[in-house]
Amino acid sequence: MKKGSSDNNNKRKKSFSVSRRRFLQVSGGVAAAGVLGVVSKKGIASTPPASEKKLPPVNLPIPETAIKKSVCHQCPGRCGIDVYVTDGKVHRIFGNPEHPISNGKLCPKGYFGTQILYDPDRFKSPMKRTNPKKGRNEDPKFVPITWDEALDTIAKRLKTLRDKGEAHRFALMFGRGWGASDVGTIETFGKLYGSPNVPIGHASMCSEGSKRAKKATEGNDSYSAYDYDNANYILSFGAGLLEAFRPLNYVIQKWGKLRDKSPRARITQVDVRKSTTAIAADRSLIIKPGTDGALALAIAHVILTEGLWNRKFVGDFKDKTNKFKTGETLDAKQFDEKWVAGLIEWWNAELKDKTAKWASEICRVSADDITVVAREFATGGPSIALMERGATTYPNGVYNGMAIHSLNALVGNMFAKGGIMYQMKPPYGALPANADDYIDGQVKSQAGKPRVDMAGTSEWPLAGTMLQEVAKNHLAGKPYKLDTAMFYLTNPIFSAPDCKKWEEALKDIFVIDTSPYPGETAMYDDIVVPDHTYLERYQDTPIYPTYGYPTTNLRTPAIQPLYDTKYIGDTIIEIGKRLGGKTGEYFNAIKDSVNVLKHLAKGFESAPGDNGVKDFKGWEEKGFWAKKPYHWKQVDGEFYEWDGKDYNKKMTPAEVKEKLLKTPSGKFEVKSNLLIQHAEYISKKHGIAADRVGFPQWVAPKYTGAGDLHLIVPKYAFHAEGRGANLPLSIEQFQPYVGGRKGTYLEMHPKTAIARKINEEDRVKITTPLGSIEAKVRYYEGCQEDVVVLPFEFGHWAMGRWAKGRGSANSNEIIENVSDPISGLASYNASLCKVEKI
Amino acid sequence: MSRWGMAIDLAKCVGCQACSVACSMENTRVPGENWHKVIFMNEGETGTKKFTWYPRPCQHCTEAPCTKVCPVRATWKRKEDGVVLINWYKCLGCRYCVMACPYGVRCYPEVKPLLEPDIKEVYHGRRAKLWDPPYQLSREEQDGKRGTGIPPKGVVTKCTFCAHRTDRKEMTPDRDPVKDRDFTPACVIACPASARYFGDIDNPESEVSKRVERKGAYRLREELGTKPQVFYVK
Repeated sequence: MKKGSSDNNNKRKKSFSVSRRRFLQVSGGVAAAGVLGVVSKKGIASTPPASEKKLPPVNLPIPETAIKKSVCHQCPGRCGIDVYVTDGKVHRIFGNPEHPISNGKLCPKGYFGTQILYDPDRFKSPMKRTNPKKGRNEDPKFVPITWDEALDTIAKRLKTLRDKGEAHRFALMFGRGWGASDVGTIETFGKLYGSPNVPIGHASMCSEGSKRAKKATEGNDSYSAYDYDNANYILSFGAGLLEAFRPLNYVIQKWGKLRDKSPRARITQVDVRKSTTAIAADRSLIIKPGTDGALALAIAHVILTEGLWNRKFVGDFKDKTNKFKTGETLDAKQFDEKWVAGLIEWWNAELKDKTAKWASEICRVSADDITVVAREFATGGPSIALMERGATTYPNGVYNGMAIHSLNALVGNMFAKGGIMYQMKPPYGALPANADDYIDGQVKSQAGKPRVDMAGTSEWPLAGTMLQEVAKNHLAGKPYKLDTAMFYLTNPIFSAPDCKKWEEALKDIFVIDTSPYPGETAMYDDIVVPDHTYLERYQDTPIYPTYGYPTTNLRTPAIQPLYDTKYIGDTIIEIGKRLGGKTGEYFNAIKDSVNVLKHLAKGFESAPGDNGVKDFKGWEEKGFWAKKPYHWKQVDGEFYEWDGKDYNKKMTPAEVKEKLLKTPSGKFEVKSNLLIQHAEYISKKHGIAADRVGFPQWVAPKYTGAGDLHLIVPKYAFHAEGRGANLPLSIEQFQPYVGGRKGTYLEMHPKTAIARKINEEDRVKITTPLGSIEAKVRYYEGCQEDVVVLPFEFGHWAMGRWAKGRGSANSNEIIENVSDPISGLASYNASLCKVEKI
Repeated sequence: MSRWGMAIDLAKCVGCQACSVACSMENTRVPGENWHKVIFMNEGETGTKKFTWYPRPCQHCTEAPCTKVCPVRATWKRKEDGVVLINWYKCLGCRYCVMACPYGVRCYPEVKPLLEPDIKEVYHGRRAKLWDPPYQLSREEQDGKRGTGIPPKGVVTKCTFCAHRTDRKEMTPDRDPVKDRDFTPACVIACPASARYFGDIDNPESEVSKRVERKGAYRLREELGTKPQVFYVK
């Protein structure tokens, strides 16, 4: 029953009397509308007479609107979108209903695309700097130049550098590189030009920790895909499932489904504050920052001591009785391992004392809650334990991540129904030329230089990339100084930890930025070669790990570019052509980025997508190519491969090792061979015994700085890839709980604030050893008393008319550049700070 | 009778605000002109506060107080489908209706801008047009008589249940956000959690009616007797 009609009698009478009075008025209203109907030629005003009960009042023609297929660009999710274009103008974006990620939906950021396209602050053509002085308050005095001048200048500079034998002094740093036509072209360019610094990716400032935790334990250096549809329990360690997890749109869709099914799937959120995810979850465990690993270890301890592990995947004691008893070491011979290697050693070295009570003191949650969550997780499956930055942006990040990921092994959800998978790649066709045939002698003679960020050297042996180290290393001249730097979709001068170092570093580097917007990097630009925005270009985007089966999208231009801009892929190809020699020959053979895409699409001929896409034309029309199913499945400890009809082919251990669990042992390693190979380095950096480095273990987080408050800098749902700061509709609703409608506030627990005599709306100074920034305070009881939260988004000193100078300052100015020694991920959330009223 | 109604499943709503943004972009609203808003609340005593939220479109009340106070009957409840609309050709901008609405859903975009610089100045509107951004509904979809699209200066604006979309097709029991995309309100299409249901609440066969009939369904400020056509379910 509607609550309204089940109300007490009195109210009903009252509302009835209202309704009589209303009746008269409504008749009046209709009469008025009727009059209008006579006047108007079309539209709703042509109301039918009151006697005619049925609609339709109107049948307006749907205006002639073209719907172009494209791909959203505001997180790495790669949602397919439908872009509505009428009279050459984009006025509406919805999710592509056929697209397997977007399913006709989008997260809030998706709708901002139109504002991003029509941003009034966009660069309108290539430009060069005329003011040689660089600094925050220096106007670059850009003057427009032609594309030829811009590309010639860059090519000449790069050629001279290479002729001097200094190709390594050119670095190209990128953020959101997605496909063969942008980052693929850049990588080839780096190979042919001969610089180890082309490209340097941004993963070490993004989410490298979970990738390395997975590589260490099961050999896949990748983010995971999750079978949410069949999951029954989700244990999220600090993952912003409803704010920043990828693909946000897809995760929210699945969240809705998990809530709709009966019985409802349960979701437990571990977090350091009451995020919207923590509020919407069934249970939230609010822990001390950086202690996720301790919690995960205790959950593992409970699972083992209570005998709740998945025996078919993990293995069992020879006599089938559970011998895991708190504090007691075991003999490895008593246990038959199946797919988890080193369990008893892990137990003896680490887990045996890691009780719920032990963790409750470290994490500040009750031992009972830990035990209950462990039981739910192990018995209420299929269960998934997941994490990203929340648990790994601390110096102990990889160990936290390994402990969390090991829970997946204990419940046997690796490659299982309702569990974890990895993303398959699309069958792309070969490019018109093979880059390896075009490497010239100059490149070979200059090989062997370390990267400027020292990733992969003895400094950071396990890190894939260390973007945050570039400024520091350049300033110190160690390993060498850069001469020229190019940026694509990354703005470390704002977003790197200790970002002010970049302001010094970029002063004596020739800076080329491809951003279409006047960001902070651009203020240091010597040449601007603005990119198209995403609605103006062709680009391929193979998807981010989502559901396993291969999918790749094609972005097609919804409209002709608004200004004299050029797609980054073509900018690189054009520079390559101008370098001459073999490099020039290669890029002449490649021709342009659309040609690249047409060659990629040839791979679909022998593998048509489920939506019938078998060539470039179909790809353009549908916007994506996808082919189900995911090829592997683990059922009750046996692995099966898809044979074209079903999962019939049972896999041998060698095949599992080659394709799925890619560790030296071919199993899920809770004693990581990868880390043992680097035992000396890890032992030195973390101060743990060399014979223990392989185990997922508790390493207390070394917080940076000094102070009594943890500074947490999460991304919120409106963080539209750095452009949110200049989008009026994003600014307006950015920080939901404390209601920052004009910028961001520092979220602070009222008790903490009152103890410092800080009122709401007061300006405060947040101090770390790197300096101070100012912010405005609002009380939020969802913060722990020793945690303050400043969302990462505002504090720009460039970036457009709405972004500049808005909101609280940029937290990255006071976050120390300290990284997890294993993954190299910057420890964004490990700062301690002081907060004082100004 | 047939009346458009909406059911919002609060158990599924995740507070992502996709509805608000989709609404603002579809209907070209200026910052602060929130036809749709997700209201975030702290409830309870200090120390044990509970955090909740609910999405708030126009409630399209059956007994709409806003329509009663309009001196020129510029705002009225459309009899055919129960949607409350404003005719911008008639509206005087007196804002009585803004005061009368118990849900705070009516906007007067001519006030001091929420954000500087004022987006209305950045995309300056010619003649009577309030502003003129490059992205806006097609000319056919903009209709001052129903209050869709960019308003003239000096009028009150409000949620129309996306009348420019729903009016394109005759009344049906349900509007499926995927199949009937061009005929469904933007907030319903947008909701990634599929927490919103839109259809004919007078048709017992419609999905929205079935949701409303479930236990625990309620309307906002029921005590006022406004009888909203928007229901909250769990």
